[in-house]
Amino acid sequence: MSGALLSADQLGRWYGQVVGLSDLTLSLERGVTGLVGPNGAGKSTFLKLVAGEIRPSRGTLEVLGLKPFANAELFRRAGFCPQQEALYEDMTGLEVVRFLMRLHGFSAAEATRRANEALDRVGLGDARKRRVGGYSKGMRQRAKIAQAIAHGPELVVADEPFNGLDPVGRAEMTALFAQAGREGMSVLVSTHVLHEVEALTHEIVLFHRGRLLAQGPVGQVRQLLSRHPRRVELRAREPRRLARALVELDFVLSVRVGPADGRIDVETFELERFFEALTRIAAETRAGVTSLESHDASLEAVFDYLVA
Amino acid sequence: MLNFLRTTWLLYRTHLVRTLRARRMWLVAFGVALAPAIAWVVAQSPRTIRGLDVLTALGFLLTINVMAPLASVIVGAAVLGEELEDRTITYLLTRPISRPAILVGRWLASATVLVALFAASAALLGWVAGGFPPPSNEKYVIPPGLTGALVGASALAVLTYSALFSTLGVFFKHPMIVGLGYAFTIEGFLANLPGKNQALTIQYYVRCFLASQHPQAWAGVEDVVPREPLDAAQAVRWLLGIALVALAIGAWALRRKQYELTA
Repeated sequence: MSGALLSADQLGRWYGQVVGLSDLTLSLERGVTGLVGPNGAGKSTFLKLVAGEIRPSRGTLEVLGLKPFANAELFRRAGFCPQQEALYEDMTGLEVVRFLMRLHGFSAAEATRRANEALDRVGLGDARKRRVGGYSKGMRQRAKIAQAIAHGPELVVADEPFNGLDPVGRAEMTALFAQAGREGMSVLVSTHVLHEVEALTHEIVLFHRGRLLAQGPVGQVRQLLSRHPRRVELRAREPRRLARALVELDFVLSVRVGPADGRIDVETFELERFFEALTRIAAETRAGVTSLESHDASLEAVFDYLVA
Repeated sequence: MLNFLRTTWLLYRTHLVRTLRARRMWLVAFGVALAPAIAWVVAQSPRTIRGLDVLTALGFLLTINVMAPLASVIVGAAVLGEELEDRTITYLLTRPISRPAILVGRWLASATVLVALFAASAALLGWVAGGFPPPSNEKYVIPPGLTGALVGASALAVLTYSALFSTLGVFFKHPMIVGLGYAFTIEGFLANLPGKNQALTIQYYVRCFLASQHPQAWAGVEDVVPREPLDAAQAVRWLLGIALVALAIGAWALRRKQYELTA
C-alpha cells in the first residue's frame, strides 16, 4: 500500500482559551511514524483528531482520504488506543475485546476468535478471563492495544502506549508495532521518550506547545539537536576545584560557578562523553559531587533548544 | 437502520448485564423494596388499618412520587454518564456504529431493569395490601385492577423519567446533579402546585393515568387526582411521547457530539 496516510492543513484545536494544537500543516506517508514531544505538546490532541474523537477548531484533516470525526468508514479501517487507562472494569479482557469486535460487525464466533488472537498477540492470553479491574497498568495497556488491532485495521493510532509497561513489556510492544508495520499496517504512535520511538521507526514528528517543530528521519532531527549545547547542573562541596578540571575538557563549551550552594552550570556538545569524564574527574579532584541534573534528560529541554 | 438495530441490541445486552452488576442497582433495589416492606410492617400492627389506604398512600407517595424519579435519576444519569465518567466512551465513539444506538441501547437496558423492579414492587405492594383484613365498608375494598394500574403507572413513570435523565447525560457533564435539581424543583414542587402548570410535569400524566381509572380509590391521598384528569390512554400517549421526544433529542445531539476526555 502506498500514498498519503494523512494530511493536515493549518489544523488547529482549542479547548476554550487553551491551545491544544496550532496551525499544523503536515503530510504523513504510510508506515510507522512516531510522534514525539513533552507532555502538553499537542500529541494527544493531534491523535484524538486523527482518531475522529474530536473535531478541529480550524483547518482541515484527512486520514486515509477521509474526514475523521464520527466517520464510520474510517473507524472500520483504523484502530485507536487512547491514552487514558480506562477500560470496562467489570468485564474480562476477553469480554472487552470481543464486545468491541462485535461492534465492528463481526459475528460472535469471529469476534471471539479475533479477540483471542489479539490478546495472545499482546501477551494477555493467560489473563484473558480475568476482570480488567484486577489488571495492572501494563496489562491494561496491552488490552487497549489488543482492542485497537483485533479487527485488523490499516492504521493503528496509539497514544502513549508504552506508559506503565515494564522494560520487557515495552520491548514486546515495540516489537509488536514494528511487526505490524512490516505486515503493512500503518502505525501512528506517540511518546515523550525519544528512544522508544527510535526502536520502532526512523520517521518522527516533533511537537512542542501545540506546534510542529520538525518532521523526518530520527537522524536528521538528532543532527538538528546536536547543534545545540546540552546543559548539566552540578553541585559539589569544592565547586571551583571541579570547575577548573571540567573546563579543560575539549567537549565542554562553558563552565559557570554559581554564587552559592556549590552550583556549577556546564554546557557541552557531547553529553555521554561528559558523563564518562565526570566520573573520573570527580574521583581525582575529590570535589565531592552532591548532585547532578541534566536538563536534557527530558525532551522539554531539547524542545527549548529548538525553539530558542 | 440495520446498523442502528444491531448496535442497539448489542449495547442493550451488554449494558443489561453490566447494569445488574452495578452497585447503584443495590441502592435502587433497596429503595424500590421500601413500599412493600413498609406495607408488610404495617400489616403486623394490631391496629385496624385499611389495605386500600396502605396501597394508595405508599404506592403514590413513596413509589410514584419519590422513588420513581429518584431511581430514574440514579440509573438514567448513568446511561451515558457512566461511560463519560469512566472515560470508556472513546471505545464506542471510535467504532463504526450508529451513535444514537449508544443512547437508545443503553437506555433500553436501564429501563428494562427499572420497569421490572418497579412493576415487581407495585405488584408486591398490592399483594401485601390485599392481605389486610377486609374493611366493613365496601367503599374501602381494594377495587379490582387497582394494583394493575399501579404497576402500569410505575412502569410508565420510570420509563419516561429514565428517558429524560438519560438524555440529560448527552448534554451535561454531571447529569445526576441536573436530574436531581429537575426532580426536586419541577417534579417535586411544580407538580404539587395548583393550576395548569402541573401539566408541565411527568407526575401530572402519571397521576392522570392512575386517577382516571379508579378516582374513588385515590381520593384518600391528597393531591393525587388532578381536577380535570386526562383519560388513561391520553396519559399513556403523553408519557410515551415525552420519552420518545427526549430520546430523539438526545440521539440527534449525540450524532455530532464530541467529548473532551482527559487522560
